Amino acid sequence: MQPKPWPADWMRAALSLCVLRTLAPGPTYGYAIATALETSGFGAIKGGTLYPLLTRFEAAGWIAGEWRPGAGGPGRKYFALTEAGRRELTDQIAQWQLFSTTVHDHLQKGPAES
Amino acid sequence: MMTSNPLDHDTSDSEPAGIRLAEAARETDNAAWLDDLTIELRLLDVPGTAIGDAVASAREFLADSGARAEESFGSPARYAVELDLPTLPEDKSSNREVLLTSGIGVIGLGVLGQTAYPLAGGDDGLAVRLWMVVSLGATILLLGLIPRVIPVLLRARTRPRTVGLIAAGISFCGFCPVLLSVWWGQVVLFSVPALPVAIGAGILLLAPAIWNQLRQNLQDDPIIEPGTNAAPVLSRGVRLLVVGVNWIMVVYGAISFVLTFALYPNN
Repeated sequence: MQPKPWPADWMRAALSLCVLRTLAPGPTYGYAIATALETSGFGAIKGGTLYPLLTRFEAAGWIAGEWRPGAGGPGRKYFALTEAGRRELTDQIAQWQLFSTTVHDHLQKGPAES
Repeated sequence: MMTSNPLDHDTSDSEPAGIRLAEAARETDNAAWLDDLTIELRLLDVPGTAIGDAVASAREFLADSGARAEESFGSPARYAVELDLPTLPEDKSSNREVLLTSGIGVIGLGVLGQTAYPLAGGDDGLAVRLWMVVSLGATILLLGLIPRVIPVLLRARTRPRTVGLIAAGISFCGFCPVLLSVWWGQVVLFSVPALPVAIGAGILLLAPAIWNQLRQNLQDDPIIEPGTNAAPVLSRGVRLLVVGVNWIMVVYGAISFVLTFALYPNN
């Protein structure tokens, strides 16, 4: 676990990709996504941070929501990646790896000589 | 597929009373927060099905996490905006209808108020004075504020002091012309029969409230709970507020009319 919370702007940049990745194994619901991210070391993810992202992904067609009935009410909304979402996830992972390599190289070697 | 919640809280008798009280307080706060979120999304013109989905999602997360809504989601107004849900296209004819019905009601209220005084005194004629015409003009100007006042009242419903100040302001504006009539010069422009004018004004006052009530009951865009076809029952507070806002002018008019008769000198 990280010693202190990650800076908010790092979290803003990385969270949407990480939420998409959490959905890759199969359909899951809001609190399970937040718990999985916390277990992975991202810290506590609030509902007010998570659901606007999920709403945006749903509007973009990357995920689809389905309500599954519970014992005494509407139950839970399960989110699943769509085909477009899987393509987006693959693209974003490739881009992020390039980006993180660029950042890592810069931090190790300093500015490139012109 | 049915779901079960492994995080459901144990509410057995072995739980200490303090914890049960704290849990009940959290549930009450969260229910009020969800009501506020419903109102904020409605004020943003989000469709009923999307409101039902967003509110049920928040309720699900709160039940699973055991968190307080304000801590987990922030203020209802800000969260409603951050969700960035698609909105209904702006219906200008609906806005015009609201203004028209509100306007008819306000004019009915104003005219009914003027007939109360001569009728209470046993006078069949209503002398139309200069200040009455001025008051009517001012009322029509105030009318433009009504669509803006309703969202403010809805948002302030949990702050009785703010609601009281707004109500006091509206009452002050309403009573001022009546009070001024006692002291001001009475320049009569013309005279009309008071009783038919009072009946006509009463109809003008009642008709918009009845029309709005019927339209609300038809519920052209109900909030739908996910997985059901039926709209959930709103809390008693919200329902009373919606009915209260619609009938407030009728109640105000009736009270003013009765008070004029009761307080008229020599009655």
